[in-house]
Amino acid sequence: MSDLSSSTISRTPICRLPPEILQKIFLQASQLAFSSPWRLSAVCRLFRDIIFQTPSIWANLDIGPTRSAVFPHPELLRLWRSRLKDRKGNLSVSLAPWVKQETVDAVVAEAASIGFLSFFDRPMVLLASNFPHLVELRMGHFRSSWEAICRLNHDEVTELIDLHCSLPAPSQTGYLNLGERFPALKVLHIHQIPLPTLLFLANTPQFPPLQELCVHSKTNVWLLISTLCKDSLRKLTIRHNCAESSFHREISSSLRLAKLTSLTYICTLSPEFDPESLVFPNLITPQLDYYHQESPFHTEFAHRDLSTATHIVWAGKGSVQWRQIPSVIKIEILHRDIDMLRSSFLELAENPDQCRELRDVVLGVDGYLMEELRPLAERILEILKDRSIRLELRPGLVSKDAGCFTYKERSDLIHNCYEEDENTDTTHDVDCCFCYICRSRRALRGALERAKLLRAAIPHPTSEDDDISELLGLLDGEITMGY
Amino acid sequence: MSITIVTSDNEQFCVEKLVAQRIALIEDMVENAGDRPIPLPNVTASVLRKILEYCEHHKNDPLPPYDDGSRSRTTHISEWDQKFITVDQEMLFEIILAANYLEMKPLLYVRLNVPRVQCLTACNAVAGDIGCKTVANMIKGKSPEEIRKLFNIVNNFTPEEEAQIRKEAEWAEDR
Repeated sequence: MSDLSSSTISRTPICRLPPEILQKIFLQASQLAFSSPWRLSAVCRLFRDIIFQTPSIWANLDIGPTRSAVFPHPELLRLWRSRLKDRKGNLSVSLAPWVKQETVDAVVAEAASIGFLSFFDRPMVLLASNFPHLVELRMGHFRSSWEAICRLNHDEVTELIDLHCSLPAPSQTGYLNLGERFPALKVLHIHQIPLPTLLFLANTPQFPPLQELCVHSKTNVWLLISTLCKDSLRKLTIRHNCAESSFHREISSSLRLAKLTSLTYICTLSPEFDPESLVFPNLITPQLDYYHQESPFHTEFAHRDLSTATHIVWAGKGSVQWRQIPSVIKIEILHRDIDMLRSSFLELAENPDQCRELRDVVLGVDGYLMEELRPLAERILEILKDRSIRLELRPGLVSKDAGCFTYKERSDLIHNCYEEDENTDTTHDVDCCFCYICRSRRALRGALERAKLLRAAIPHPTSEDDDISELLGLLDGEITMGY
Repeated sequence: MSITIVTSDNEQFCVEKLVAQRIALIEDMVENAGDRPIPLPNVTASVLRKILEYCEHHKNDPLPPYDDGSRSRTTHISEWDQKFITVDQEMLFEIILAANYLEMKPLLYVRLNVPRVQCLTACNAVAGDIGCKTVANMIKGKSPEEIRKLFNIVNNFTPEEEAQIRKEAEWAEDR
């Protein structure tokens, strides 16, 4: 720093600050955003010298996703590497679906520095490299956006995207061998990836000891993956949004998750699905503390081993099964049947030995039910007057753990931090050329084109070339692409 | 018990010892000065007044936990501190410089038997936290040109450096 001291002699007050103070300011100003150090180093020579001589400013940075198809630029990553000097870097990378392959290649070249990786709607061969320090991985598809944009039949779009992102040839299948190439992995989010890929993951010979697993899936394949990290798993989130009943029946054996403290089960099955065929696996969870269930089909808790759970979040139908949750301290309920709710709390009042630790009740309400629930809340307090219980009414079911974001939440771009179940139609501006949705249109068109090429190149037992052509026609007719 | 501090513009401040001890440099000088006034030749009265206002408000605060700043880059400032640091730019940098000077000999860690780094962090409260955070917040999200304008900084790059910076800006463009 001594060589910098002379250059601080300047009339402007900020440049009179000692270099070590400026370093501290720059560290705080950069806030992990990848573009910050570049921007600050373009102010004046003093700033540039200090930033170049402060590897810690470059060490921990978040990349994207952005509107650009070439961000992070390969040259920029090369410069980033040189400015780190010998220091170990730790990048958080969220790749937008529209980034060019050269950008993906540049990111993959820095795989050893990546601690967080998120990519959606891209071929999974991106994972063909080793990621020795990767702690959190999020991957898959964002299906809601496809639906919202294209207004196509859900299954048609999914099938096409699956085809676009399906597994490579058997000789290349080592790319998903997470245990060998992702030894530090602790958190895995897999959203809507094709069943063959999920099965491949589930059958991988070595699996990292995950602490957190979130699966958005059509099937119960999450159970197979959970089995591989059953001794380490602490938090498990399952989002069913379709179902294949035959597969459920095959894996109805029990599984002990010794360290699991948080379990979330959100079931949004298609209306034509027969809920009778839905079988929730038998999980043994001796340390479970938090249980969250949202399902329009279940009249009871899907998970049975709730004896240790102290915090319950429940959105469903039927009465509350108090006997199953003897340790509950806080319960959050979203329920449309007021009579059922009233009878549930009457039952609790009549059985003073049940749920003796219960202190907090939160009733999540839709707007039009709020007024109806107020008298009910008063009635519940009256019913439970012998217990010291705090009761709260909230609009909707509010829970910190309910959302599942694909990318990190720090981005300020409109559609970059979308939530899986959010209906983006309401906020989308059709003239917004750079937002996620518009980019997704282009990506979808690319996927459809590739799907057509793939179908032409690889004989398929149920070829649907005509359907693809029709979908392409729909896209052309409905959307002005502008690219 | 109180001590007397003399600023560079010869103003005398009679300060409660508990308040003055928040400043490590003074804590060190009190030991040797006895009853004599403590001179601060690098701090003006207007700046010391502000620093003492801060020390008075925070005199009973516990020492903050050690933070090496490597990953945590929060720029949150409490409401009182926010009001305290709402000053003109000249004063803001004077406060940072003075606080930096006042922590030059942080011996508080010896008396309190806490790690030196932790003491540095505690004594650095004005300069390190509020001052730096305030400047960082002023810089955050601004373009190089906006930063130059804000702080009256002259663009002193050579044409070659300008060309390189333009390239980097193009590559780093994230919108």
